[in-house]
Amino acid sequence: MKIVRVILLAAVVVPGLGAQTDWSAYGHDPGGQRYSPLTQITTQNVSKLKLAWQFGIDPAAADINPATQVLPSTEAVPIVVGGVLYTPIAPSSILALESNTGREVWRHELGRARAPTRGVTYWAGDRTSAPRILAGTSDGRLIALDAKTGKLVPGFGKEGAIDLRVGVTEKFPDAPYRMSSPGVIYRNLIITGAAGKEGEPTGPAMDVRAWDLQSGKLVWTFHTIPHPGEAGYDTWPKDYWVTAGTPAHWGLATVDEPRGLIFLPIGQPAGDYYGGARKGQNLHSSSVVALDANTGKLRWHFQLTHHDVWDYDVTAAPALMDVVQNGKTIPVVVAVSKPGYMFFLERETGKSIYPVEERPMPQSDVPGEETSPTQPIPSKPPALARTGIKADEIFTGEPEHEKYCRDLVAKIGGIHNLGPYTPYSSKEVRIIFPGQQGGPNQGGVSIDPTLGYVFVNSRNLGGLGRLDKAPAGAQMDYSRVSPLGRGTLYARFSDQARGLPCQPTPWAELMAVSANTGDIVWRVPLGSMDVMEAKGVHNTGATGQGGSIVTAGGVLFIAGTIDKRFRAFESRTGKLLWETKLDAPGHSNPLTYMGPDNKQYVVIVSSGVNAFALE
Amino acid sequence: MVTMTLKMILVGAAAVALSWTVTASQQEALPDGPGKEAMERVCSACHELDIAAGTRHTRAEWRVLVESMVSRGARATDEEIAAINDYLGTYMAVVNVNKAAAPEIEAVLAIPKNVAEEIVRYRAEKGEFKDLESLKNVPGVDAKVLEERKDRVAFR
Repeated sequence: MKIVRVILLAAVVVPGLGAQTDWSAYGHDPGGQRYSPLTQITTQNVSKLKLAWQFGIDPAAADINPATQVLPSTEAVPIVVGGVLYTPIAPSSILALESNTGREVWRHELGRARAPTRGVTYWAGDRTSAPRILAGTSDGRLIALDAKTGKLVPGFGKEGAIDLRVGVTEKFPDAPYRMSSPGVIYRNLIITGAAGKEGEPTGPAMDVRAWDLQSGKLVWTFHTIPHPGEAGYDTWPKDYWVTAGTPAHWGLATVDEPRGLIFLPIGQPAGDYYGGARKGQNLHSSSVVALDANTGKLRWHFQLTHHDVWDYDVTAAPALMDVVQNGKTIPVVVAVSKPGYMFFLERETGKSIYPVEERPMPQSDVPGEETSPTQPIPSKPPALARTGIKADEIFTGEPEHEKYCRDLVAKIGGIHNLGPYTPYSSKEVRIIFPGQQGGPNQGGVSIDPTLGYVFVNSRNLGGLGRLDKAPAGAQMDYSRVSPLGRGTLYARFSDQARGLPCQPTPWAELMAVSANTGDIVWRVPLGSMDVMEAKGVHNTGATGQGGSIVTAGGVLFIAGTIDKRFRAFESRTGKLLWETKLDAPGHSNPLTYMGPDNKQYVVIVSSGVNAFALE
Repeated sequence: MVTMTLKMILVGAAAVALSWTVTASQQEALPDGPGKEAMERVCSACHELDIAAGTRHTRAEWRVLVESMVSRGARATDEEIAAINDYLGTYMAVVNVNKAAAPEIEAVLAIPKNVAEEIVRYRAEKGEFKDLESLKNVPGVDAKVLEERKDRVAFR
């Protein structure tokens, strides 16, 4: 009798526990905290982590020079539910794997279409529907697969797929259009963004849409460029929305289920560096917006960069947490992006809990450009990235690289920078900090709610260039050019072939911010460059993309560096506890879960899936 | 005071102008070759050609990069993708002379087949090339041609 009761109890409790120990969404939970309650791996034993299994590693990846930032085809964060790991594998597959062995459960081939870049979405289903995997493919479809079998769900859209291009790209048949990040779930809806061309203003509209999870029917649409009668319409030239594509919501959204709110990061307007044809504040570009998740109606907006001409798009998932001040608990959403500032915004209103100053900024000298007179700067926390550079701030400490940098500075006629939000000039080559890579970027933040800490990684990689009159026929009157060479890699203040920035270190940092005080609690360099280590220059930090996760075991995991390492830090102090080398940089976020064998696994995607566990 | 300022500006301008001539390649057209048309049509649907095509990569890197663009929504047939890879891997490529096989060295540097083979044989015998000068020591290598095409050579 007693045994039966125990079994019954276990049957009731396990599903709840399972949810706790899975990684069922991109950001772990709908609010995107990326905090796991698992405690098997601790600060004491993390140094004993070993590779448990791998899947889909691309043998060609090891030969790629990560410094030139040849983009990987995958930046996936797999999903783990009930002992199964779901992930896209480049080029064209979606797979279900046993979470403790990496053995294939099912495989869905997409044909000519390529697999989603950042992962898939798990929907637990409801009374009438079995659990589903939803995935956005490179040809602009949203497909629904049965989570058990990997087969298309016939009742969803047309035979299991929605063509997202319909009603959007008819005027631009050659334009790329697809979901660049997994959609998010709110009750019976999946909410999707889009990505397409970024450099030029015309293109398919990048609106945000919500679809019924049962049928695939469109439920609501949010215009990233307001239409007539919508708030913010007057922040663009008249009728701008008719032909304009960007800004896009191409990053990850978060959901506050009890409040019925969805929070979206919105990217930059086009062109990236010249806004003469789009005078105005340009809402909702480079912003976080809060929508009523049931209707798509705008609740509030917070623009991080007004009239963006720096490519400072907001891409990181706005993460949810509670801040405690003067004994009062304030539900907030944490917004961070490339300019390097972090904002704690009240969830209901979008009002910052730390005062925000609209600070006067240097103005553009480029004909036709009207930069915003001010930009929002919070009183706290301080900037999380280098926001300027003085004329003599050139890297020293290793003669070969120092010489490269001094020669570079001579070639561009000296270092010209006016501090935060320095605009590009048509008269001189300027160096801009943060550059187009950030600062913080789509890796965003992880949060330990028990410590009240927000963890963020940030790179210091300057943009470099001058705005020159574009040739006749170009969509933009001015385009950014670099005297160092054509191509985006030359528009950086660095030795692009070796991935070494030209200003003093650190070149990337990992930081913990106390949400309750707004102070940076600790900061450490993130990454080290082998070529510098060999010459005795240690812990320079390494640029890259990707973010962190944190666990109740007190451990923070992060890759996100071009040094191809995967690391563990003590979340309370920032002490490095463990590192291992990967085949390729992990330009994504890790995840952790309990396997059916009661082992805690930590996974990072490099060119394929790498799973680590204690022996 | 005014002349002083003007002089300073002029000197500054001269220094910048001088530095720009060093890299006048900025506005030069991309080289003609099979696959150029496909590359221009497919790639310019998303971004300015200069964004990527100005930078040299190894063939392996171009393949990864082109595949990554297809996964990010670039619209092309399999034939077009192959043509784009060939174009970029020939005209916008850099070759690692310490790793690549002879055919890749031959194609990227546009040198005779026997010279490319000699480079491979020479490195197997004497070890890795450190710089352009050491590469010039290989019998049959035309130092002048190599100097002209030095931006296509990588050593690591």
